[in-house]
Amino acid sequence: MRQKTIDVSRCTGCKNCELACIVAHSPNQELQQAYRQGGAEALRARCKVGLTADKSLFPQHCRHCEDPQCVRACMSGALIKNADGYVVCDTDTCVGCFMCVMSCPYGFARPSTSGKRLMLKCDGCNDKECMACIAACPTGCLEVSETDKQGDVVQYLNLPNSGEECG
Amino acid sequence: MRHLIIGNSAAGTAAAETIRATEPQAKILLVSQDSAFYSRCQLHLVATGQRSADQANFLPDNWAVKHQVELLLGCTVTGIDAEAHQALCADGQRLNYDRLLLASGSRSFLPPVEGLTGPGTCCLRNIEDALQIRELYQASQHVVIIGAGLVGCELAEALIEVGHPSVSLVEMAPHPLPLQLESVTGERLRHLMQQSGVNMYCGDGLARVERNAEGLPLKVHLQSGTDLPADLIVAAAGVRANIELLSALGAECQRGIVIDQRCQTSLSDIYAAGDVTECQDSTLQKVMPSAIWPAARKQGRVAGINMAGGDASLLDHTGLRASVSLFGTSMVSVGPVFDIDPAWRKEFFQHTDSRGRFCTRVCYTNDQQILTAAVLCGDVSQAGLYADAIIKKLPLGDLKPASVPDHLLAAAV
Repeated sequence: MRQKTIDVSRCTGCKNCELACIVAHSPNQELQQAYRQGGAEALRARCKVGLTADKSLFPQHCRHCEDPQCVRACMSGALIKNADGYVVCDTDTCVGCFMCVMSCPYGFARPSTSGKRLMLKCDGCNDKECMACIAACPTGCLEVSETDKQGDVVQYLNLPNSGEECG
Repeated sequence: MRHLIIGNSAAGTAAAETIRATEPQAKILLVSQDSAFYSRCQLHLVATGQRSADQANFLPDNWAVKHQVELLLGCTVTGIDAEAHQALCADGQRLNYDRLLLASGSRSFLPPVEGLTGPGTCCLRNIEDALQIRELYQASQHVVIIGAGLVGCELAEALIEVGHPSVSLVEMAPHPLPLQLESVTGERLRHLMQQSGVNMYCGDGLARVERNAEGLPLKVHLQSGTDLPADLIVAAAGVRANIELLSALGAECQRGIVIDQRCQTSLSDIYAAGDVTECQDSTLQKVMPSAIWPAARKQGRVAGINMAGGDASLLDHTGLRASVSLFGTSMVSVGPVFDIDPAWRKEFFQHTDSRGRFCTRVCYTNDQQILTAAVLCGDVSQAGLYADAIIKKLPLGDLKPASVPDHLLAAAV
């Protein structure tokens, strides 16, 4: 299985992953055009660099969970975990009930920003050789690897401490 | 082992899938009154013609073949002989089972109101109801919907979307979605729906339906004395669980069939899942229905695993979650919003997002700062984090600003 590893300690917050994601999901695979003509939907990156309570960087990516709660909650049949282990949404089938949004414990099933009744999520760049975010990452924070293990497609390394643990 | 599943919606099909995964040699027979698979959550779209009945199917076409499930659709089970381990069908067939799952759902409830029953009055529970509304609504001048729950509100919106000239919504509570929204968000939704073209009659009830000589609806009289013209009435005022097959055998029942954490009923070899059941809710700590799609799927999966000899349990189970989008505004409600402990602290956050939407969040916390209930309106993209915090009993903490909450980091390990 193709796996995405995220070494949080290497993230510099450059947001190249977000831009690459926008380009990958834009009509012509081109950034300027995505902004000019892609519409609101194209402009929502499926990944996001966030800040924790103590202002550490935290790259957030869909984990394509082994037991995906978004798929469990989907009432239209649009969300499935495909043979490669990626959780993907069939946008023609999705009716935008957003029960996936309500059910993803990581907050990574999100409503389309266009106002359409459609959920948007990372599709693992299923049709590409390399995920756009990984190809665009200049620091080695995002890497691809092969694994025989079953589990979430995304694995985190070197997580920042949570506030609770810091006391 | 021979598994018999009664019901082909969320719970029944989920159970079939996990039985097959747990017990590859199992014999699975799925019997249902319905003649097709469809998602009830989409019926308002079928009723207004925005989706076809086929599009409401939530399963891939080859589902039954893939999971080797034998189907007996359009067949009504009329009784269970628990001793003989047999189900009796309306057509006289007897179906043998070793383990039985009742996932028979619920049915619409028509309030006992003078003149309500009759032609021109519909419910919205089954695909037949949706097709009936689809046939009637285009010729109708005035639609009156009774009950502003999820079904009533979504149908009202769908009718406005397809251009119906007169849609009225009658609700006993002071605002729509009384089980999901507290007063601030509820009042905002009432205003939004009114502005969007739905005639809202909240805090009012149905007194009587007046019919013409042919027996068709003419007017709806409300308790406040208001008269509404009506030629199509849709009753969306609640449901009753289809418990009769098991209540007749003496199974433990309240409004639904009571199941334990393994989805087993009080009868041996008989399990139940979905809208027909009641079980322990992890947020309120009491036995109650969990009539939402994700909860039915979860119960179905747990029941299926246990029926096939596995061991699964309903951990962190709650039906107190709802997601709805009406007239361009998304809302998510989590926790017992309709039954707030007076000791809980209520906090209200609001902001205008980058797209100019006015977004609100209402959060309830207990004396240990644990998040107990929340209503998000406008921007719901973080709803899953709130729901997870409520179900796992975590503090509101830094969910307040839009940062990465601590418990998300903990979950990543």
